[in-house]
Amino acid sequence: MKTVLVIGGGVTGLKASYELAEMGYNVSLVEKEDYLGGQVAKHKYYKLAPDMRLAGEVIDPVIKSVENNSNIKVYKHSTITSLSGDAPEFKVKIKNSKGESEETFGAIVVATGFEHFDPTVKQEYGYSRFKDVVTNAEIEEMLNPNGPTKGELKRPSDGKIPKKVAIFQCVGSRDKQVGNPYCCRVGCVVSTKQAIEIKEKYPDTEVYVYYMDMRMFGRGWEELYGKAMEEYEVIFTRGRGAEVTLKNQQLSLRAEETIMDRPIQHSVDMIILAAGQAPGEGTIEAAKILGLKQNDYGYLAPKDDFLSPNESSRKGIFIAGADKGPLDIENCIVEGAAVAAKVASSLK
Amino acid sequence: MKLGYFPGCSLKGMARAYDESTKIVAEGFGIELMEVDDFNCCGALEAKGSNEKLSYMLPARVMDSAKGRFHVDAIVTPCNGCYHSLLRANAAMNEDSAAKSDVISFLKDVGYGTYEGDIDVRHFLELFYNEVGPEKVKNAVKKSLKGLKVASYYGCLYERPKTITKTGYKSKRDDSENPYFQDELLAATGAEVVKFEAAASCCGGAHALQDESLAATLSAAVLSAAKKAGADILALPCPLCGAALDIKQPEIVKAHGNDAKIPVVYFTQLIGLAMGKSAKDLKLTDPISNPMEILKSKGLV
Amino acid sequence: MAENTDKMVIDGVELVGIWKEFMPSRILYEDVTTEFLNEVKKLPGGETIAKCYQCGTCTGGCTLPEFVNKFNPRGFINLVRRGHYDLLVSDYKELVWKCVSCNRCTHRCPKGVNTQEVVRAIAKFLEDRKVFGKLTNDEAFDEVFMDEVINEGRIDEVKIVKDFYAKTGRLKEMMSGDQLSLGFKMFTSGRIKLFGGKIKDWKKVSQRLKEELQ
Ligand SMILES: Cc1cc2nc3c(=O)[nH]c(=O)nc-3n(C[C@H](O)[C@H](O)[C@H](O)COP(=O)(O)OP(=O)(O)OC[C@H]3O[C@@H](n4cnc5c(N)ncnc54)[C@H](O)[C@@H]3O)c2cc1C
Ligand code: SF4
Ligand code: SF4
Ligand code: SF4
Repeated sequence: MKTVLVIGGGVTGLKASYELAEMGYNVSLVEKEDYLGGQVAKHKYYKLAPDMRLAGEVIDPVIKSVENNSNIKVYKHSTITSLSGDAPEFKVKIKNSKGESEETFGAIVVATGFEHFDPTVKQEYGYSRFKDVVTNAEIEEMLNPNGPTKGELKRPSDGKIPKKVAIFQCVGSRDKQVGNPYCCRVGCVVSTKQAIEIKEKYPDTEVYVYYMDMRMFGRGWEELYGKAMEEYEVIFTRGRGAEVTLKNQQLSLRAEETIMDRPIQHSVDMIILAAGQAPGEGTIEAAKILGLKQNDYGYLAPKDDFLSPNESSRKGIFIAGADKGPLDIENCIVEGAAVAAKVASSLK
Repeated sequence: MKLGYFPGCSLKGMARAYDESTKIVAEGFGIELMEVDDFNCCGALEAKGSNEKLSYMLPARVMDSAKGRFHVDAIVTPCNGCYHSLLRANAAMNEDSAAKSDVISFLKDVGYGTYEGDIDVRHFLELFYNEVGPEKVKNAVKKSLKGLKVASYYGCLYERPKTITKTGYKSKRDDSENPYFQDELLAATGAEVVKFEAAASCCGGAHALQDESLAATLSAAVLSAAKKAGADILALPCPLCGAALDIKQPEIVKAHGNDAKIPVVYFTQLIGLAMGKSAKDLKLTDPISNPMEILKSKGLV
Repeated sequence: MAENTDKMVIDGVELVGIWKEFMPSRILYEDVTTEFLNEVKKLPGGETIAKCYQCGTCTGGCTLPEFVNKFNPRGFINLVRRGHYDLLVSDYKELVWKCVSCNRCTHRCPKGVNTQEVVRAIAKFLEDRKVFGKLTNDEAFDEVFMDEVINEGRIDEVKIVKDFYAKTGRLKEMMSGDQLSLGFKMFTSGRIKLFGGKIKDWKKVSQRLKEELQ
């Protein structure tokens, strides 16, 4: 049985599909949206940390390599609805506007990714109450020349360019109240990158980052953090955002400057919430249909985190990428390749 | 729905106006309240400062009585402090098995029932908003409060802390940072609800005696914010805030000046007034801060 | 002049001396202990203290810093955790018990610390160590209040006020103008009435609660 089902057309799923096809397997790639590229495409990521490379430079070739590959059948706007049988003969129903059809696969790769945390529930930050409180994903779209504001950073309330911007780290991450005590792993570098992008475009705009720890463990991330301070004068304040209010029509934030042992009240024009990653509906649904074990937060649980990181709790079904927990793009690509190798060896 | 009504000590003492106006309003809108008449003090904030177990046992006895003697599934209280104590005891019973067994054995020892931490605890403001709502209030207005500018004040424990109130998580609860239930209910009476930044600030009432000058400073901040916002009157849903902002007002004004002078009433008194009930029945002469004067001048009483 | 003397000119006056001898050390500590952390953890409300990761959300939103200089729940937790007992006593003991229980801190703490109760526990920890030299108003109030609750089942606000003033030696103050006329107004308007005692088997409950306090 040489046909593999890949669920999810984000970076991870794309990379896995491509590698499998190159090894001679037939791949069916099922993606619920009508485009490929996952979150990177959905939110029109503009530049990627730490090299400030255009996201398109990374994602477009990966998408092309899949679309142009005769071994890969791409099902967009499609989902799986049921599974029967066991490895190496899974029978899966795929549903889309044309109807429902059943196919047989030797192995399944789940790469259903993550969803951006919705900060509405953090009522103290006033997201959805105050127009000028936005998420980092919305900023990605704004900074993209092909985005809704054509690359301009504009305050949603009046379209003006903000003179003072604050960024709150760890929104919906490291937070027991919302049930996400884990670290989002990318929020710090993404905020640092966005701060630099803003300063590059608008040198007169001041950017303040409110953080608890800046977690800069990736390649080149710590260096980027240094650059933000040294070359762009981004101000990093150690204290988690406590609340956002409106004072005389102006956004005003409160936090503690913990190094000074004093609370501060800071008036700004715009607040960016570094919303973290949460397991998406798509991942939870796939886990249910395929009968996969999830961890406490809803992410897919590997058979063994150390020894078999890409095997799910079920034989013949493999998992990779941000559906296992927060992950950056570089590592998603590594995961995509790794899972392809694992599938190939299991089908031998 | 069968509802147990837990007024709490204050409503049987200094805040009787709140007790009576709550009953009038509830009756007027067909909410049937069964008073848990053998209630004891919930322990307020003091019990939890003295002894953890006591702070669960006292509210549990009330809830046990509500369940065992009155057979209700929900208990409603108009007091922020009692609301906090009851919710807190339930949360402990549901999250901490040791706390639960302590309570259960206490109830057994004193010959009570078998309360398990499962009664639904509601605040009268939240209940009234959800079960009656602004629309029905609007339709029931006999005497519009048009022309009266109201600052709608909530206090602390009505929405905080969300670890036990579940505001923002549990449906039917108010917004935990930007409460609006009372605003909408008051607006439905025809009154003008002013924009009021101190709506969920602390009145300092918890320290009204222990640290009088600090409490007075916090209360003055709330009162003067209301006045600055242009309000004629301040309405609230808590007898403890009532004690701090109304009964203590003469002292506050003495220390902080006339900026802090503004009449204070319970929200149920204003709703009752709009329903056409008399100032006497609603005990509008009770507040020390003298709401009668402004109500008279607006032709409302 | 000894080898290790220093020289400094302040406002034209030349000072010579060994600085170390008259300037306090800038070094905060040479030894730390988790002894106090463990003690607070065991007090009512103190259980969650060790969860704190010092993010400052509590202090950032706290009601008090605006009115009470240096009030800082995160800071109090830090001092206890790091064993800075002397500093806590010398600089903060009069602040800790000022917390007004507004619960903004607990409400927002991302780590599940019950901050308000932890702050109360820290105050209690200091009270238990008798650093105040007398009964604090908080202690006195809690005692008066709980006595009344346990004995009567309900509280009578006027009695509480009276007992509290008596306990803190300020009965005279209460008998002065304002308070008294307020009390009078309450009485005449019928708002102060003594509770008849309807609670089923309260004696038994009261006995049991007293045992619990032992
Ligand atoms: C604001 C923000 C900025 C970021 N910027 C960077 C950056 O600069 N650099 C970097 O390295 N990383 C960045 N990241 C992280 C990056 O987005 C992720 O690493 C990457 O998108 C994960 O890829 P993925 O393929 O695993 O998942 P996804 O991108 O989420 O793709 C999953 C795909 O699966 C589909 N799907 C889901 N469920 C189903 C289903 N049941 N059936 C069919 N299809 C389904 C989805 O529609 C989606 O297309 C950022 C993250 C955030 C939150
Ligand atoms: S990566 Fe940064 S922003 Fe995200 S949770 Fe971790 S510390 Fe917070
Ligand atoms: S909010 Fe919670 S975790 Fe943060 S400093 Fe305060 S107590 Fe500690
Ligand atoms: S409960 Fe006390 S410590 Fe917490 S925010 Fe209020 S005043 Fe500050």
